[in-house]
Amino acid sequence: MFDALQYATLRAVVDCMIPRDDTPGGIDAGVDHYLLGFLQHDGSGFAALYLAVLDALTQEAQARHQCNFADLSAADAEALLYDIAHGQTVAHWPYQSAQSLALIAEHCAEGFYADPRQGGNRDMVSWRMIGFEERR
Amino acid sequence: MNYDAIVIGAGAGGGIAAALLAESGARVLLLERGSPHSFATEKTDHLRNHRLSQYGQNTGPGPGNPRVFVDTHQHTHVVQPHEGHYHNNAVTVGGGTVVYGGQAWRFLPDDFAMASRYGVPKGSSLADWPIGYADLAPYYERAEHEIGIAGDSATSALVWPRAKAYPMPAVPMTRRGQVLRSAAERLGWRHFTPPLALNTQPYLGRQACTGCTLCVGFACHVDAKNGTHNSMIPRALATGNCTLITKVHVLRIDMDDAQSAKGVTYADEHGIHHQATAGLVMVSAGAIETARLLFNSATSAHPNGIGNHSDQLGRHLQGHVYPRAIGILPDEVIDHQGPGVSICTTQFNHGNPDIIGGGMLADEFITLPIIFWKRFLPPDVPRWGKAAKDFMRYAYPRFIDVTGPIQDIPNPDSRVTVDTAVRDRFGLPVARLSGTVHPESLRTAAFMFERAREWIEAAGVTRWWGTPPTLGLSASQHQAGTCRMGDDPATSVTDRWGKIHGTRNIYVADGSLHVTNGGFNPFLTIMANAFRVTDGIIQRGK
Repeated sequence: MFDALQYATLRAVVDCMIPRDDTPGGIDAGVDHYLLGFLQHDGSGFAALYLAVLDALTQEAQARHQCNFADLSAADAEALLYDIAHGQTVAHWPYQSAQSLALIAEHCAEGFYADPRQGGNRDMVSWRMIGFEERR
Repeated sequence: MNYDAIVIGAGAGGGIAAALLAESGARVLLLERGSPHSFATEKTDHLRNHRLSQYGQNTGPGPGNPRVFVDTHQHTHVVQPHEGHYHNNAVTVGGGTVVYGGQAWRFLPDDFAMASRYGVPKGSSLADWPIGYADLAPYYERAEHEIGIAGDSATSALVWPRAKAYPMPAVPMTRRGQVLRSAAERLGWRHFTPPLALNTQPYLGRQACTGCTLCVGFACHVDAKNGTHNSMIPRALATGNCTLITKVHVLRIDMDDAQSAKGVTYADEHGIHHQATAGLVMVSAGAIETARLLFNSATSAHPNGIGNHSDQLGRHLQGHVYPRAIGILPDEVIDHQGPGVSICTTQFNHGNPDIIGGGMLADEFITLPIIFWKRFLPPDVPRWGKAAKDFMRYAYPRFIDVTGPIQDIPNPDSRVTVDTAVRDRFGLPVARLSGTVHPESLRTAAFMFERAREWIEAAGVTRWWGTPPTLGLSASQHQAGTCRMGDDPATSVTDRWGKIHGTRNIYVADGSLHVTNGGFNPFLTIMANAFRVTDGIIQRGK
């Protein structure tokens, strides 16, 4: 459903929303893969929103830094998302920008903190981080 | 087919009615919309269960069963079963008792006499039950022993008059529970471990709880969580007198004359209609679906629905609002000891200054990480970026929360009707839910929120957050009140024996009968009342 640029942008958004630090982040947990599966099933109603957000992020990055979102430094990407979440946009956002980012953040959290059977949280990295054990 | 009795709904109430009737020698047809659900069919999906049904749930109902919800701005919404405003109860053999947390509370004596104790607030329909605690006490005891409840008998005997101890000792106390116990002692509050419907030792042929970390919202992996699915319904089937048919939806109660039901018409999963006849019909579909079936069974003699002779059917819908205070302790308190809830206080269920009733407070079941993220984060913590991750990493192992159901003050405008413009997959009008809690409920909730905050502050939290509940409809898994019992047909749907006024053989046994819903999780009261109602039928039939 995404072209190469859109998918690269999606990965960069995931990386920004749940960054790797001394413990694994969203990309390590496979949240980008989780989102691809989600958007084809229960999340199919959000597909148009994701496409619009990813294209708008390309425009925002080009306008501010003359490069694609995926090529921004972590600090620049975070600052840009922060500004967008606070309404500072230059591109056309067909869906309200702050709400769109909040929704994507929630989907990323679902992929990161829910059970690995849903396709994210690879190797239970988030549960190891916070000390949750799924023990039967 | 002809039976002595047809029981509609194999949940907390219907499972008990079917078992007692079958054991008395009656030939019983038990009809259930859902399928059996057990650990074998459990997917343990953290996003699709009865604690968090973000995109679906682990029991029914399935597609083709919408409801209409009217919000506080009077806007109507067509809602699906996994959405919050649907106010779903698990649809499966055993109903909510398969996936619940199982807090097994008796209501207090004053909970049956709220109007006498507090008066009737303007705009409310607060009323006394037609029966008292003493009428229900022997049946609470039966439910505790025949379902299997683990509890602190010594302390609970100080709270309720109790003739017999719980059959099993209470669950062990968690580290969070220990912290809250010290705090309760500092505050001078009586505390104890809540009674739970699970085996703390082998009981009734099944093993003890393993203390796993997935409990509420899911089926038990060793069948140590006790509900009607693994106690009363197997007993009913073991008699050879009970036929259980699943995946069937009762479309209407068929009347013989103005006062007597002759049976029911139901549809199977292929939509094919079947008829069954019986001398008695027991409706136990939960407060919302029981009312809907009675509305949809209207006849010329009952033009507004069976039991709706006084415009009471479907009214007084109530559940529980939950104030919740969450905080972070300086040290980690996570200990992975399921089911997680291990301390409570009933200090504030009654006798609060200028408050009508009150509620119970307890700690929380083990909280899935994604539920913590969605429901328990403070409002000022970012939802993405390093700060969000850092907060999860710091707070999850250190959080405590205290919450509990407050006694709803019922009102007639919180109600179930049917919406003829929206139909289910069988073409029947769906349930329409409207109204909000009474303002007194919110006042109680605000008071109880302060008590919850006080408790976690005494426990030494470094920061706390949470907000008291706001205006909205209260029903959900604790749904009750839509066929209230009473001696006066002008103000009630059934008599004190659960028999619908003006009918000869149509009974209700589920939360619908509750006049008020206590400041406690209601399932044990639903069960005890189902024991009482069914025992009454059997005794009078002798």
